[in-house]
Amino acid sequence: MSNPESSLSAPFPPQQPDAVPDPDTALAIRGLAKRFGEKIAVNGISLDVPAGSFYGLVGPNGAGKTTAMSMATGLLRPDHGQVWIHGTDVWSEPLIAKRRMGVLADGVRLFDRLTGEQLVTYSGLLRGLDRDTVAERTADLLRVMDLTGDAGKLVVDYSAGMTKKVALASAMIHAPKVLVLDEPFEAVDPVSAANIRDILAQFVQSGGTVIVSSHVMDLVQRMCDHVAIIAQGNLLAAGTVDEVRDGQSLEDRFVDLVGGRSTGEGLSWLRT
Amino acid sequence: MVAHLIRMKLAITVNGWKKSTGQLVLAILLMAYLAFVLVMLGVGASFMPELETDARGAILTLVGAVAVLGWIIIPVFFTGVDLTLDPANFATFGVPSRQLVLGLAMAGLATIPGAATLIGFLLSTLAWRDQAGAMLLAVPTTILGAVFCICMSYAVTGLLAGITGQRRIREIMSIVAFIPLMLAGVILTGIVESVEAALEQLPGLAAIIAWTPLGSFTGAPWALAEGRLLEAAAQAVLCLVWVAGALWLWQLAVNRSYAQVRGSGPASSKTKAGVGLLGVFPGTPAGAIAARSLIYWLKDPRYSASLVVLPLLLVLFWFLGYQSGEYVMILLMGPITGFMLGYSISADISYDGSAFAQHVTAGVSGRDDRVGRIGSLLAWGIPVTLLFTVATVWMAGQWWLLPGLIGLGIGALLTGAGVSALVSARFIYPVPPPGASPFATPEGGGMRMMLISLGAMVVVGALCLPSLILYVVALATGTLLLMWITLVVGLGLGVFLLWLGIRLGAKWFDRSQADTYQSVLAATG
Repeated sequence: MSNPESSLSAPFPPQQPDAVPDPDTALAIRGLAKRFGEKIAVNGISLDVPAGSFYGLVGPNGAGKTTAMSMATGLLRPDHGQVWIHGTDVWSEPLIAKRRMGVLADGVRLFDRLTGEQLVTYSGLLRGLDRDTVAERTADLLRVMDLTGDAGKLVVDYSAGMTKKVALASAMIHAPKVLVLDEPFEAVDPVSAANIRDILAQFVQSGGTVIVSSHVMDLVQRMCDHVAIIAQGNLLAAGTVDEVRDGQSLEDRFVDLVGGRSTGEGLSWLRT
Repeated sequence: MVAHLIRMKLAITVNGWKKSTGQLVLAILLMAYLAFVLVMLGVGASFMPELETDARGAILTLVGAVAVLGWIIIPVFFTGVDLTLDPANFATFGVPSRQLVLGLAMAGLATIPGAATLIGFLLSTLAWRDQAGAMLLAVPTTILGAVFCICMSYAVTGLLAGITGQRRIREIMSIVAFIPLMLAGVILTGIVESVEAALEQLPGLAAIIAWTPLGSFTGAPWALAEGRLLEAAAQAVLCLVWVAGALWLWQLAVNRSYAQVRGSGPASSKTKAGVGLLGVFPGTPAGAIAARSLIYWLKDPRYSASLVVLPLLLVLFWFLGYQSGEYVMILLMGPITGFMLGYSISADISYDGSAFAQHVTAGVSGRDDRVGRIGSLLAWGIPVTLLFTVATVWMAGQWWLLPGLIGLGIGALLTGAGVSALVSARFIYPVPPPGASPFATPEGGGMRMMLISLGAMVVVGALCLPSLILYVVALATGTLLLMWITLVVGLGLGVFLLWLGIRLGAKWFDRSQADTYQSVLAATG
């Protein structure tokens, strides 16, 4: 812990609660909080995700990443706080806000009695796209996800990685401005992961915004330009990757901030 | 190892009670009920020495056989086995399967049904309290009987799980297996007539059963009591053989599930090109939802299972008509079909499970969601209800009833759909998860589910009352005009209630989408 406490630990001055943020901010969060019984899952988080950024959200297990993302995407009603997508409040104008968002929720089922092609088509039609556009984009998405060969298989028979990919395709078909992806690379093979990374990078280059949560620091450091570190429901640091990591590797910085590393007194009997 | 497993089983049970008061209350009710049954059994058994040895032995053997059969059949078709201690979970510990099976068997005796079976078997030995020798033999053989019950239930379900591992086969089986049970009533009627004759056969039957795994455990003491020493010895040895056999079968099942953990085999489902029904319905959100619902009606056994009862009722009513020569009951078919179909989608969002997230994140409007789900039901529900109505009227040869019955049937369908549109927008209850046996009971929430579905059924029934009263009056007075009025009122009221249900349900859906989704998560995970 030789590193001096940087100012990044408290990145946001108190804000006017009712001030509608700049529509150029892709995702703006103010004072977001959620409590489950005794446990405070998210403890008043404020965060700005600039448009066109590739934003990583990292934190240990149970830090509140999924809870925060659920509240930002309209899946979980927050106890306190507000969320805007390009200036539209998610909870007071959900239909407009959701149109701009593509969401990959972690650990939810899909309508898995549909084939892969049917599922992506379903997602497109749900979003109100016309049939021709849906057909064209479905074919494109299945191709880049390397699922064309399995397009006619039921999703329930897909492997974990294929399921992730088809869910991602479903989240992207309506060409959203903001992609919110919870653990998008979990269980995905390296080749597909690289392909997905390319797609996301292209999406960001063309002006889109991507928010991903992940456990893999290395991946976030390489892939993202911004990062926020969450632990125990609090935002510990946020900013560009270079600002946050402050000369160290992101992983070391993360461990510094979050703590919890044991001090080398290992398992003395665990030898061969 | 054995002690570990028993302690773990108890800890899991107690933790379940701590987590949910509902489960604790249910467990207490179940225990109270079983205690009552066991007391009655004990009292009954202790009075049995009044009976002749022959009758006593026959009764005990048959009751024992029913208990063993119950342990084999009920888990397969109804409850499934309690897999809190699934052998597959122990695969990575490298416990030898023989030791594991022994431990699991003992842990099985430490469950509520297991303990009740053991106590019940032991109480049955009271029937021999006037014959010390028979009672002394009965104690070990009945204990073996209880162990056999538990081992067989796990062995049979375990082996069947191996065979039915493929999703499709399991789904079909779970429905097909239900059919004979539904028809049990019809079959029983046939049997009852010959019951008197059967009663005389029972002692002979029991004597044969005593040589099978079903009867040896209670049959051996009977043979001893009658002084058939050699037979008693042979049957006692058979008890050991049966238990050893059951253990071996179970071990076989465990070994298979060990092997399956390493790779649950790629299910080779046929691939299908194109988007199927999604290309047939209108290319709108509501159209897509309707197409998806219809695909689920065809592919998800939880939907189709709710309708197995319809053809069976048809057979039952036809059978009743065939016996009495008057096809009266069968005329109920149309209205019952409409009623059941309309009501059948009241748990639609619960069936989605967390897949419902897709509707929430896509910002589907309540109107599209309601219209889509109900549209898919009506698309085939109306023709089916009409078909059943016309076919049954034709069977009964009472054509003048047709307008009234159509008014009742379609009216009930539309009314039920309207109530479902409202109820399913917000009320979520635990349902079996996708891929589970549609007849499995989901954990917890049984009471809540019963209350909601009962309440909804009563409401649908009450809303159908105007057309029902009209129909009854028309029937009683024989007025054809009233039949036509029933048709108009049934359809008119149904359409209005459907419109109202969709409208209110859509509003409710829009307002509480996220909360509904969280309820679904909590209920189905």
